[in-house]
Amino acid sequence: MDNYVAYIDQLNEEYKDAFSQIETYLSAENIDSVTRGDQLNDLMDLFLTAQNAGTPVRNLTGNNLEQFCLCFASEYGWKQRLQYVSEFFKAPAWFILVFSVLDLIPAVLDSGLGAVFSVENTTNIPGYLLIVVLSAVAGMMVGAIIRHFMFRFKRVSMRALKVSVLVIALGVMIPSMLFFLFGESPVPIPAWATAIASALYLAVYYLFNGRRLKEHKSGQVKFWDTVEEDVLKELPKEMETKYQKANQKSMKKGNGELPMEVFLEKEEQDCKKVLKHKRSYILAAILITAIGTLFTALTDGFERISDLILFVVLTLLVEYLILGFFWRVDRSGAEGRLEWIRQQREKQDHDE
Amino acid sequence: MEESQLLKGILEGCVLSIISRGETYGYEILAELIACGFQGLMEGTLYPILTRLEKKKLIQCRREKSPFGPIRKYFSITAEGEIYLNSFRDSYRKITISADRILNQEAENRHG
Repeated sequence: MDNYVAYIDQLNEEYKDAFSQIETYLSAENIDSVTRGDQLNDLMDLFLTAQNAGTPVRNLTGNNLEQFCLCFASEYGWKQRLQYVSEFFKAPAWFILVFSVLDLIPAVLDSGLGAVFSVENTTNIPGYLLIVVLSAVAGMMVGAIIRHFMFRFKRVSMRALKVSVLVIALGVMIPSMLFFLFGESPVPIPAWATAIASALYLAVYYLFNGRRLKEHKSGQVKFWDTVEEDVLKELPKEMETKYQKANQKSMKKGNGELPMEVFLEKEEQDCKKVLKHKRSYILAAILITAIGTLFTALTDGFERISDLILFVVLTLLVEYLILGFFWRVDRSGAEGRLEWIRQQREKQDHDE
Repeated sequence: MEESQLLKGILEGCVLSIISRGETYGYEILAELIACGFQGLMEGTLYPILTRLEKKKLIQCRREKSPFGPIRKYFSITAEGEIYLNSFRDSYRKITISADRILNQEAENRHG
């Protein structure tokens, strides 16, 4: 991770506070992730340099942080908004492309290429697109509300923004996926048409943005980066609290004060065990897929081999996303704790 | 009258002038502006100015890892930027001379 998220902990309290508010404001602006990441990376460099020079943050931002944010975001024009919208529709375009192709593959495998033009989508694409548009509008409205109120009421934190976005995303995404997968399309739409339309959209998107995405790749903030940021932010406080609780427990049992080194040793062993969990996640994914496939085969059955293959591929993909997320959180936590342990040991050696 | 209204027109030229002295980056530009008395008037305007100058192709930038870790943008003036800066300096000189005459004349008349 080589974007601004990796350096947030290097900021002192006043700089971190200001940066966090600006980050929340810019995240609530409807601009594309590359532009936003670029701006925040620039700001992080400015803040770190100024902090190192002993400059108070007010010298950079002025006394009115809202005014600073308004000025900072003033250059965002129609181009950045358009890039935001096109970026927003990228994931839905991929979904439609994948599901259109999944509808086409069995027909082609069974009846040859000639069957392509007779296959209709089994998913409710118009309904899905409607929900995507509505969620885009909802997202823009939430952003506008946050930007309007965040300086009027005691700070809307980045966490509140992420929670509200997650609630909207889940609240919209889950019904929309169910609607998409199980709802009936109001009009029959040929799968080849949606496959070509979505492929064309993605081709145009990457044609116009490919170079930009490549140039800014190292500075881009990915979803996993923000997950790791959240996990690591509270870690020092959590570890301190954990040590205090373990210490109190030891004293209650009559074992006296718990030496820090004993606590660190135990934590280190736990972390190393967690890092070996990757095998367990992979095994879990294979087991769930096997059970799911067997269950489906015994109940509904698979009409064709292609249905079986598609089922297995989709199940593994969903598990990769869900289990991958939990593994990533687990791993970040363990690596963060190991780093905290290393710092505590260094501190102890320094004190001695 | 709010100073920011006056500033808007000349800040671009000032920033371009700082960049024309040699390749530089955000904090250096800001520190120079503050040292010359623009403190308290910046409030987030520097980055929009740099974005506008880049869009107009008056400056170019290259990216390099800064000593503190994040990627840093280093700005330098382009050939078009040099032409624009010279034209800005001429216009600014003419306007300042004319404005000085009028404002000082009024001041003299008032103090009679």
